[in-house]
Amino acid sequence: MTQYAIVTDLDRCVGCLACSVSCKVINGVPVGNFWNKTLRVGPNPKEGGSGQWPDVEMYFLNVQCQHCENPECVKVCPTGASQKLPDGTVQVDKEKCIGCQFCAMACPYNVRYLNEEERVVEKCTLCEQKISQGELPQCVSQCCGMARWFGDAEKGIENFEGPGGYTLGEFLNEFDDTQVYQLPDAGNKPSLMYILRDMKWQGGDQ
Amino acid sequence: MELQWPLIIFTTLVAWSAGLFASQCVLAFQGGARKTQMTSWIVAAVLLVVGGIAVFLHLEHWERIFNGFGHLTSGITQELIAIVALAVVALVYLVMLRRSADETVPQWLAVVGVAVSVVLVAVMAHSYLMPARPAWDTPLWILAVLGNACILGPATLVVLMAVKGDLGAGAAAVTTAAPRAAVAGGSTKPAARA
Ligand code: SF4
Ligand code: SF4
Ligand code: SF4
Repeated sequence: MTQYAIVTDLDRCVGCLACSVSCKVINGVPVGNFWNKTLRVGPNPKEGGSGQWPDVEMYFLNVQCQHCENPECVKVCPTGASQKLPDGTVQVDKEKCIGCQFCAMACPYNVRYLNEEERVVEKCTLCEQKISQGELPQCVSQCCGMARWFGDAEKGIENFEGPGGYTLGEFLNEFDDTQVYQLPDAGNKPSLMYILRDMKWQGGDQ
Repeated sequence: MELQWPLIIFTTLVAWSAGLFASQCVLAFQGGARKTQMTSWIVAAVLLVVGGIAVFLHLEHWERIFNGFGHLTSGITQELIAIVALAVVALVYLVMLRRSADETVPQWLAVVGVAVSVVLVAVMAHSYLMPARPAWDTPLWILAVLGNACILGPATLVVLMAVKGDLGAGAAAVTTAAPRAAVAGGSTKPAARA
């Protein structure tokens, strides 16, 4: 099995939005829609701190389709337009989609929307057109903070690749398993991962 | 996500239609509401058709439903199956009604009519139970839509019976015997006969 995914080191993300913007450019995402949003989480008071500045912390969180292991969007799709492919990515076959938008309701992260022009639902494809040719997803290759890494989660995230031919294992500062987070799981089992070392993950208990 | 009016109209009208059909089935079980049976059937059918048109308006590419609609884990597919089942039962009901000399249908058919109506409403409501939407993800939602059906259906039937001059003993049937029959699995009290 293969499960392509992206790991983001949130301690490296500077919130420049290069991932969000480059995704829109390469994938022709309509104005007003996003396949990848960079959210600001915080500032929140640090645990055990005064509750006032400078005892605050803040990080950025890139939210896109999590290419779930057990995707709710696929389960509710009446036509089979939403599918999980053998490479682990979740894709929408636009020729089959009837635009019922049940998938958009069923996704816990609100990453799907109706493309008003094509009248079908779309979302992050994990840059299928690029990764199928051995290239990196655009949001990974354009990340100026070297925070984004792409690879097969089944083979371990140490081997994930980033720009410049580096691998995650050799490039990133040390972290342990308890510092690798995923978005809250509603039974869909998200595949993307986020590394956060010294700040409190605000995405609920793991 | 903004309000999806076609879906709101669809769920309401289908619950209404199924509630009305089930109510007429309950009375038919007791041989009641004979003057109103046909009118009620037509009104229930119209509600179902208008609801169906509303849901088609929701689909952005309805013409593609012929491309491969039928993924069974999908609530929409399950709903469609339940609607087809109800439509088949309703058609058999219509044929039996037309054929009978005294505007009655067999008791077994009335029971099947109630059962398929309840199943349709429950399946339709169930398709909105999604872990991603915690506010909807409760069995209470199924009860709420069933509640819509249990109020809209009998209330509409009473109005139709009043219009048709079918009230009197019939009113007693709807207000007292019908709920009792639904709970107890049917009774044939003389008072329930119209
Ligand atoms: S994140 Fe949402 S759209 Fe993406 S696979 Fe999971 S449930 Fe589907
Ligand atoms: S909008 Fe398209 S992809 Fe989404 S559930 Fe409906 S048919 Fe499937
Ligand atoms: S993987 Fe590709 S499609 Fe997905 S968010 Fe990144 S750039 Fe956009």
